[in-house]
Amino acid sequence: VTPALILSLISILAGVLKANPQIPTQVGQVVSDVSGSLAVLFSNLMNSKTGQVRLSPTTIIAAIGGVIVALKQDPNLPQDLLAKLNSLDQALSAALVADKLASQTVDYSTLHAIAPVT
Amino acid sequence: MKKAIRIALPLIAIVLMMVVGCHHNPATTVPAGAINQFDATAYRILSDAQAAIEFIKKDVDAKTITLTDQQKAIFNQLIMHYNTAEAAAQAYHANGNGQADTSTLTTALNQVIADIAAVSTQIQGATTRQKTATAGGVQ
Repeated sequence: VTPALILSLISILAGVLKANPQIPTQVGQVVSDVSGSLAVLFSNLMNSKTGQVRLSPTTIIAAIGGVIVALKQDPNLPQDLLAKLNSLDQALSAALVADKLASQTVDYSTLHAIAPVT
Repeated sequence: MKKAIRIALPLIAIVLMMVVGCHHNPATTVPAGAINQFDATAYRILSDAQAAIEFIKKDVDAKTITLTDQQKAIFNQLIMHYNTAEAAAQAYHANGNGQADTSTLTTALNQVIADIAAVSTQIQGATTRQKTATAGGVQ
């Protein structure tokens, strides 16, 4: 996955969030700030000659988690959206836990096939 | 609900992208249980993907998220390719000596990552179409 592709995805995220009238201006600003920080991270990654500056999934996920937390604190958002954001928050947590465990111990018995959605 | 989906699906794509596609950490010590670094990296990618896909699938099954037919097809394609990669990884790991061909598993893992990119592209297209329709007064 190229950093440019990831950057484009973040742009999509920022654009969708900022364009949605249900998202308060302040949260839109948070999204912009996070997007800017991520852009710097990716830029450092791409320009690093020594390889010492590396992209951390944990940092990126935490930043996106911050956006989700900010959205969840808006009392004007509809319940269904809040529920979805809650789920995404949990999905992020699960992914982070899985990533940490997987970086320490390899146990292929934890992997299994997933049934398609109907 | 549609607005919630418009906001949530890009987030899903980003989450999947981040947890699956960003393992740039240098190879240092091979984790316990791995036969080599390639085996460990494949496991980590699939472990992260499995966690994220299962959480999203749970919401789809519970109808917290309603996917369009096209979105469902793409999500199922991602699951299908995850399953292919998972089977290839299990076979590579079971071989045990690290001498097995890595090309099949590498291709399968890349396909999973490509699927995630396809999800984001599809979402971007849907968002663009919706903005165009709104601007033109067409629903």
